[in-house]
Amino acid sequence: MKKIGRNIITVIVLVLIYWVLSKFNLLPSFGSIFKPEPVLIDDTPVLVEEIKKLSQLVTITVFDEVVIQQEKTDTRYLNNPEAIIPLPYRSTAKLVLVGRGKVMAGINFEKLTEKDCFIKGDSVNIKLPAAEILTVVMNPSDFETFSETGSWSPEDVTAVKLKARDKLISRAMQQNILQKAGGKSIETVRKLLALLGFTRINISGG
Amino acid sequence: MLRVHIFLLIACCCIAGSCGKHADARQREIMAIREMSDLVTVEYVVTKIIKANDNKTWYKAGDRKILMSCRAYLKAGIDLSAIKEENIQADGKSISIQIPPAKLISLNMPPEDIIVEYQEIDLFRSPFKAGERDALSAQAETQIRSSTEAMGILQAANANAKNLITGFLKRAGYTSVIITTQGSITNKPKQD
Repeated sequence: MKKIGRNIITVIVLVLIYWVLSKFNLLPSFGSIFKPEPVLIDDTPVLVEEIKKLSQLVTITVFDEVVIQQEKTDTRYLNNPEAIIPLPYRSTAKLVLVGRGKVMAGINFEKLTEKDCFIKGDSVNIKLPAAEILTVVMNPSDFETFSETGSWSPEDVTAVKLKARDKLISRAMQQNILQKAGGKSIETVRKLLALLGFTRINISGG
Repeated sequence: MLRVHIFLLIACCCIAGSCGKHADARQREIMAIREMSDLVTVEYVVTKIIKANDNKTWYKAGDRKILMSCRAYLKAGIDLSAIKEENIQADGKSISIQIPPAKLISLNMPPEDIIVEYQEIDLFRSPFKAGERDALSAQAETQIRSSTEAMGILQAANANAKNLITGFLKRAGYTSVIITTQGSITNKPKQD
């Protein structure tokens, strides 16, 4: 009977200790004890390699998300004398990435030549260059590794990411990004020229 | 008796351990087509070395070191849709325009421009996985984004936009062109 009483008191004391510690956030959880420390990169300098003057009008941006899957035969231990266990082992390596990104399209004014632009008084004639994809953004923060099994070299992963970027572009093309960008470019240039005082505006191309 | 106490203590710790909160703070972006009227006037090509040493976790035996190089392309310019009628004053052959302040339009770190230059993996450690390398590159991306102010990209974009518009207006017959910037240049880059 005494033993049971002592056990009950021990439980109450432990619960009380736990309550007090947790109340003041002094109790480390198992999760935090075994949580790996984040790997932080050093603050190295950013070097400007090149500065380019551009003249591009971005009129459409398509945001999208693609999934890309790649499989290959993993021969890490197959006939590899450097392997810890050089077993005749062969398996399938799989990499599944989710990539978010954006495709920006519009016109490049640098392709506008002297003969494409005619100005006289308050009238203007412009033949805009054809709309094109100007930038495709798929940064490291836009990728999520959904599954990675087996051995994937950095070069292999880059090849898969480039496939994801191609898929992003092809999906944007399916949404008629160039036609939309061309139409919007004409609209933007027309509005701007009207604001500048031109009354007779003729725009083609785009 | 001691064994009972140890058991109870472990039980309490297990309860405490299970109380850990896991919050998925991943930000979702709406997939869409967005219309815009951004005039890109400058591109900066920048490089950076990504250096990391994974030796901070107490229970992991051995170190892992990685050295990567990356290249990023930053484009900046002005939003032409922000130029309204009230921002333009024309008088004969003279014209004055207020253009919006320059902004960062895109930051692009292509996968092919992120190269692993060197890795050092101790015997008991596993090599860096694709997701881990991406996490390190993403930190570099953030550092590049936050250094746009020091690079002066917005000032360059603003100056180029002024030159571009002045050139066009002079060709259109204006002899006096004055271009000013609305407000001041926002040095804080837009999250794209």
